[in-house]
Amino acid sequence: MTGAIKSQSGRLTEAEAIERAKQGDGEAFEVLYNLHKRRVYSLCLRMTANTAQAEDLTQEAFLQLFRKIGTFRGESAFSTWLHRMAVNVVLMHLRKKGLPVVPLEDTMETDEDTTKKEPGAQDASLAGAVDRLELQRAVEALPPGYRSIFVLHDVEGFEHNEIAEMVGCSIGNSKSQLHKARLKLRDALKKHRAEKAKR
Amino acid sequence: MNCAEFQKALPEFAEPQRDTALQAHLRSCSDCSLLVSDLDSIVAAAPSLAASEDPNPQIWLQLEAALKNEGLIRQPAAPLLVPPPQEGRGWRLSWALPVAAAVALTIGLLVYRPSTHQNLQSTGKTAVTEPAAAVQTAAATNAGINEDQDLLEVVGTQSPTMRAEYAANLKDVNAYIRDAEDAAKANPDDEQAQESVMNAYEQRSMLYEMAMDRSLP
Ligand SMILES: [Zn+2]
Repeated sequence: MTGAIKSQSGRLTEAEAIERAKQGDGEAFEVLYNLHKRRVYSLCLRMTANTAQAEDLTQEAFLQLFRKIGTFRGESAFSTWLHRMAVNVVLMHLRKKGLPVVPLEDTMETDEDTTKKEPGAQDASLAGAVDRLELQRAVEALPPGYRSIFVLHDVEGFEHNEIAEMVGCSIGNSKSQLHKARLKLRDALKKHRAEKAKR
Repeated sequence: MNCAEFQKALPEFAEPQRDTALQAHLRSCSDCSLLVSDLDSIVAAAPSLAASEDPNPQIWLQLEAALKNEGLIRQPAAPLLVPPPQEGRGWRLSWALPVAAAVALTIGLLVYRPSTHQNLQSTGKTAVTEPAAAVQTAAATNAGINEDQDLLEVVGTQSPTMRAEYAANLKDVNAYIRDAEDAAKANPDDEQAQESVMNAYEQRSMLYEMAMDRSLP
């Protein structure tokens, strides 16, 4: 095929890459992939807590997006579009696996997390910064529904109304489940630190 | 306000420090103020988990292979995996228009036509001579099958009738894709052939879009 589009300066802007990808330029697809792969893969990994699944879902999200690139119009934000699509791909995967995308209704609400008081509870406060790795482990250990809400809101920065729409729950539900997820993380972090201190 | 009331109100407030009633309790209660500061620390650390991991480079290679296989990448980005140029054009995709029209019609009718189609096992793929291409094709086809199953499962949770509709339509569109791909492989220099592969996939993605619109809350 003649008339192949090649980047001249070596680097394409996102807008250029989108236009060239529409023409079937492999380099342009790679540029777009490289611009967004970390964000998409990290999202998939945090939501599933499983490397193999995250890899499959990352590929799937990009594939679905690239199939529709011809319909993409410049005025909408490409990254927002991709991000949304990645979330949908992950949520669909979770649903398919029968995993809750929103925490199952707590029928036996105990509020144990919030009101339980133990001797020395104050000492067990997190007292300051939480580091990335310890938070990452705690998030991985969250039940899937809580993990989704926490990742979507606190990690990825979606608003409650967006989350409610994506996962199919009320805004109030999204708020209360996020709060519970944070409480669970706090407990997990405290526990982890207590165990570490014993060693 | 006591601790229970405070903690019950907490989920509503992104910044409880800013609400006067909560603020008053917060000042007088060390337990609750520790709770709030712990939650703040967690919220502050959370964004560090975003975009924090690099995917395995293998993912791009697989994706690239799939994009080539689907005809989305139409120019070689790298000399690898590109079939040798073939001589001779003159081949024309005379059937592409009628088939595309038929598929479009099927999709158009999808919403209105009650269906009795049931099967979904039309996924056998014709063999390709080139080993690398064969592997790519098989992988992509398997991915396609799984994807179709995923979609049908989601659609099926809404309505068994819709599931059957989508199964029949996916079968048609997949057959269209196979034909178009075979033609494009036989005539790699023919732009029209490549275009019809694109069209075929576009049809498929339309189906997906429609199904997602229907199924997502
Ligand atoms: Zn209190």
